[in-house]
Amino acid sequence: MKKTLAIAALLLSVCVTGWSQAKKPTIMVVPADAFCERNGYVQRVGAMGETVSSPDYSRAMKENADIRTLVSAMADFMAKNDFPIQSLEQELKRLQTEDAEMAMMTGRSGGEIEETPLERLRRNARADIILDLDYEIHRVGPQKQVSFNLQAIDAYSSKIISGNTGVSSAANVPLTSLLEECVLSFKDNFLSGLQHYFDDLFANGREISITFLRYDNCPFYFDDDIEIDGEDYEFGEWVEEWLQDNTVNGRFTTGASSGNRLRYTQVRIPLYSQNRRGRDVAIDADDYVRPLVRELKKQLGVTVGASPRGLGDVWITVGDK
Amino acid sequence: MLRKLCFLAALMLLAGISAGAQEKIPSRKVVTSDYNRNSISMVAVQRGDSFDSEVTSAVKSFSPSQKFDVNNISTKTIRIRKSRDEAVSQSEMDEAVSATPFAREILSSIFNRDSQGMMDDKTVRYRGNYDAKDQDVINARASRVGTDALGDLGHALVKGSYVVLTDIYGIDRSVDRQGNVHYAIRSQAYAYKIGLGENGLSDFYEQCWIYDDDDDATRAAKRRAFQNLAIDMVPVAHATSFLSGSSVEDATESALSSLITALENRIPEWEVAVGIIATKPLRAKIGTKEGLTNGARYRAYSYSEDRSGRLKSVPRGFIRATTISSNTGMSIGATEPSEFYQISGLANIEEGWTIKQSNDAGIGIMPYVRVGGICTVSAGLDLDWLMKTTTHGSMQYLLATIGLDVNSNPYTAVNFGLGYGYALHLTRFFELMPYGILGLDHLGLSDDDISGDDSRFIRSSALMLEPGIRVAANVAYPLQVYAKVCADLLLPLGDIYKRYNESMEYYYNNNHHSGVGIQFGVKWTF
Amino acid sequence: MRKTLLIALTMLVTLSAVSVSAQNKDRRKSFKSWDNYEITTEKVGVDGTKFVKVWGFGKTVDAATMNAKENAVHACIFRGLPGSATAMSTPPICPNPDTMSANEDYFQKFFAAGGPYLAYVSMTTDGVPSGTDKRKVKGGYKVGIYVQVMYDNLKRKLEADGIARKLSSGF
Repeated sequence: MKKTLAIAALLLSVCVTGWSQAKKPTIMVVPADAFCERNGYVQRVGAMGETVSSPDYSRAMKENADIRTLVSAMADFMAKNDFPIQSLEQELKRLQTEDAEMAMMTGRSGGEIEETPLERLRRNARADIILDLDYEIHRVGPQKQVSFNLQAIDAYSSKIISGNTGVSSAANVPLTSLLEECVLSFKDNFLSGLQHYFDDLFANGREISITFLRYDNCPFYFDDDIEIDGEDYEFGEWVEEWLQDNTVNGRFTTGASSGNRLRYTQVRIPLYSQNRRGRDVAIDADDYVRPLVRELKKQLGVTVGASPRGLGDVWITVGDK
Repeated sequence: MLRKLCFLAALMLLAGISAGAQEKIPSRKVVTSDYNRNSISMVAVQRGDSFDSEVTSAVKSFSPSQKFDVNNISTKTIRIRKSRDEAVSQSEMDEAVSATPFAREILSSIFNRDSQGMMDDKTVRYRGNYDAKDQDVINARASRVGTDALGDLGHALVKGSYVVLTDIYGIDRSVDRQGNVHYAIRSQAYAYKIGLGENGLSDFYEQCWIYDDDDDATRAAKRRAFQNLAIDMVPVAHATSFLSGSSVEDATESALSSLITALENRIPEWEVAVGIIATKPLRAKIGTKEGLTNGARYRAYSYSEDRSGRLKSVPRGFIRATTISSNTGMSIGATEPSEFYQISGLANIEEGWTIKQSNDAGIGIMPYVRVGGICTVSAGLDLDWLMKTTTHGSMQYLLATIGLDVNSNPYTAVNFGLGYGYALHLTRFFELMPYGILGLDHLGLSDDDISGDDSRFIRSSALMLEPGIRVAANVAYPLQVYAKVCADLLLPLGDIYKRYNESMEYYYNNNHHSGVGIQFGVKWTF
Repeated sequence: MRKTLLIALTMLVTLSAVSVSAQNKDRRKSFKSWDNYEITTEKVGVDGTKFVKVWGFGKTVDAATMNAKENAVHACIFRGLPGSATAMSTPPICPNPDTMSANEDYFQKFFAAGGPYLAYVSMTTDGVPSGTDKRKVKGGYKVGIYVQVMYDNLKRKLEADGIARKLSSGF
């Protein structure tokens, strides 16, 4: 039986290679902000005279055995579906060592890189899909009942791919039973949401946002006409043309536009592109805009910088980096 | 119509158990096929007289059938000031019940509430595990939370909690010639069910359940909430019975079991229901846990859907329990079934049909006419009481008979006797029973005074021995027709009998003698 | 005499052939309009399984029970399972409505009497369907049974046979 399965899988994979292989999206389970807030897994940081609280994932993972039960139950079924889940704990450890370096980093023009812990996590762990997990244990007299809310979020577009909410049985049984019951309860619905998302991904590409920001030392405003290849273009118009050529099916939406700021959302980028040596590589928003940045520099002769915010959002600064 | 007749006959002939119900099953209602254990608490009604202590002691020591769990509530008696000559009415009882916090006491008992207001679910879990059927166990194994959650089935049983209030009245004391005292009592029972609605229990948990980490203020608030719980007790059924005994306590003890039996017939939730799992012989997974006894009668039902998809239950014949399994342990998914024998119904009972408890006294009443035997023509009444039934359809009966010679004027010719019969069923429709009766045939003149003179009674009687065979056929259960062929042997016991018999022969050409007779009659079982 | 016998035999053979082809036709017809059954999720099943109560119809109780098993597997593949108070709904393994018609031969074999589908379903009803779970209806019986569907195994089988797509296919 196993042999047959293996042969079938092999055959299938051969078929699939026909239309080239994309990099497998990576998935990570992260406790929801609401969960961290409720359970006191937050760190309060003073910033610009205000106290901002942000989730303390590290403590949540260390101190809460239930969340580890949930994560390992989810890792189990995801591994069975050939999608190993990235370990949040390991990523956190790696991040800690990087934090020191991050603190030292400032923009060349003096601006600090401001990212929320989640954004930082997303960027560093480079998980394509974040599973935002929230659950609550209710006591019903002698019985316990777990309510859960699991959202799969596309780290690029921050869109919810699949939402799963429900409750476990109410029973006086070990909590692990109820937690695992929850996981099994949403498992197939969740997987189906992922499948749907992947289908869309293959058909229409990945969704990102691009924002252009103008620095003071930029010689033109975004609504000015500029000369490129001997022809007069409005800057925005030229960018749109580039996007039309380089998005999947030419799909993107122009958001707010002004002389100082241009924003493009729902920009559908291909899952992979070829690097300079001609190899297929998976790309994120930062990788995607690199040729655009190069093109801009070449055509306009101004300083252009790209700074990623998470995986799916990138700021392109014109006039400075 | 048959039911009505049966009911009427039962009322008139036995005058024992008669019951007025507030909750009768409408004829169109679909009979439910599920049954869960119920819990009861017995409470004695005190009238403030000298009988109170005897009645209370009988009620306190009464242990109901194994099919019930007992909620040990603190109120064992309630007092209603009314003369014991009269029965307590429903409205008087309602008033007394609403003045007592029965619902709170039931919940306290089930959840083992202590003086600090702390509760646990030990009893609930025990009952849940104990009530679990094989299907529940199999279902639990198929589900992720597993068999650990079987105990949680006990929460659903809380709403099957009842209080049964028993009232003894109309006590009649009599003394016989030997100086033995007898008490005849009337008794009645009112059953009330805890009025927990759909969310009753979860509201109770939310308002009154104290958790270990609750602070003092919360604990106090929850204790207050418990004291203010307003859960009604809902009247569901009423039953009466008439019994006697050598003391009021004895009579009350006997009355209590017959009252519970009568209530069982009035409260559908109390009637055990289960599916037939096998035929040849008929088997079903109930037993001592459900209080099943040999000869207990159940009615089979099948289910069908009409064209519009409405569910109907179709009554199909009766069966009697034969071999009773001992199933008082916790279910592990392989409960030993009890066996049954089908006694009526045109169709053979099939696997999967539901059988539902349908209590009867197992007593057959048989008016008859006899030709031959000890006299030319006689009429009378036979009684039989079913003692034991087996899976193969053999039944043992205790028999009683009383007959009257219809042509004996001016003498009164009465015969009566007791006997034993061993019946065989070739099919469920026919019963063949060899039997034997031993009795007396008595001849007397209407102005004879036999009271106080036992010897005169014996001298005017003859010993009667009657071996015979009875054949009965089902017409429409519980109605049967039967015929008996008997050989009566007479042995006169004294001179008066002989003299009267000769005189009857001389004047009326009708003497009593040994001989063969044939008897026809109908039998009604109830 | 011999002639009569021959004619009778021919007629019998023809008739039975007609009835067989009619049966096949019936089956094919019912196969396509196979959607008329009830199924409910009982509880969250043990890992990899779905624990459902499903109804089937047949001339006999056994036939109805078999039909219920077929329905359970059919629901997992094509219809999905509805949720209950404490169990989320389960989407079908093959959500594409054309899967059935595109692979009709495959599913004809899969759901044949005693076919491979039986490996993915096991009845957990204690003994026989009883009480209100066994109903006499016009033309036969309707029964409700508890079953465990080996959903994950079924999914893997259909993925291996190229009927359903793997989650990781394309990567």
